[in-house]
Amino acid sequence: MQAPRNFKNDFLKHLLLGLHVSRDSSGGTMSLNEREREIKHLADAAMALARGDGANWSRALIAGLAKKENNEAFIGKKLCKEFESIASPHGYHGTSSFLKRKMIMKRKSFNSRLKVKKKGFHSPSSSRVIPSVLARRIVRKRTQVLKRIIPGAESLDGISLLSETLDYVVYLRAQAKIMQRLTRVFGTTMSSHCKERLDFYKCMVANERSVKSERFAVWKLEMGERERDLVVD
Amino acid sequence: MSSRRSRITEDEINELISKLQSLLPEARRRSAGRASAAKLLKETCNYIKSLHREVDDLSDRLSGLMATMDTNSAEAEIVRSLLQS
Repeated sequence: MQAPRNFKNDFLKHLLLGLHVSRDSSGGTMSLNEREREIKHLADAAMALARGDGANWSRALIAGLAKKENNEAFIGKKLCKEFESIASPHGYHGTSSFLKRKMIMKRKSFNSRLKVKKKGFHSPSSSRVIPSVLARRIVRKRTQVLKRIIPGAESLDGISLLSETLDYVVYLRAQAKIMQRLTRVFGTTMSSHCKERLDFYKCMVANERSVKSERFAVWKLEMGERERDLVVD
Repeated sequence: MSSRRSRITEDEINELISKLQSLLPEARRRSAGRASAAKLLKETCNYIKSLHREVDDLSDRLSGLMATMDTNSAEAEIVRSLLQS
């Protein structure tokens, strides 16, 4: 299963725009750590915005981002209209903000250590007697973990959780793949791989040309403004 | 009536499970059985976490690249010209 092409384009657009905007506004005063965190913010925001209100996790991410004051002005620069329509307070189930991810990672490693410990205490006879109970317990625990690592999934259950998981994994994979390509393209020097970069951008633009959208026009305008500022003659 | 509803739901579940399984990178894909629910969940959680780590790492690399790109305006030139054409 693959993420649809319009998502990939939207995500890339949002990400590039965000990267340019942040580069302008920061003015080189950020530490590398802060910069990395900001780019993570951007990547998640871009992913959520590109997904729109089609999934619970994207609505949750957008609502979570809206809460952060720093991000409001920052994200507001990107396609405001779209952002505001999605970031309504009751737009999603659950209250997680993606900032919790770090805490969740720590908690998860603690939990997994706990799990390993507990395994040793189960005597073979008890496992044989009530295997279904044990299996159910494991499934319940793992379901809880799943609910924590998927944004906004805390109040989901059963089939909704499963389909939400499926959706999230598909788009998460696309996010990783596109960022990989972007890193590779940015990583090559201008002189040695000029053609590869040109093709990359051409492809991105060509895909958009076939789809008439107001959002692209807005982005195009903004990108044009940004690039004019950046060019040093 | 209720049995019909649960049959539909079971089909939905099976479809979701098989789709999810096809996404996971592991080669060892067992056919659906009672034991695979826990395994599927575990594989899914691990996969999501590894994807998160990958995105974190890529953000790290991008941040480094963006820092060195600040003075490089040729890139901006290309993007601008492409958008205008």
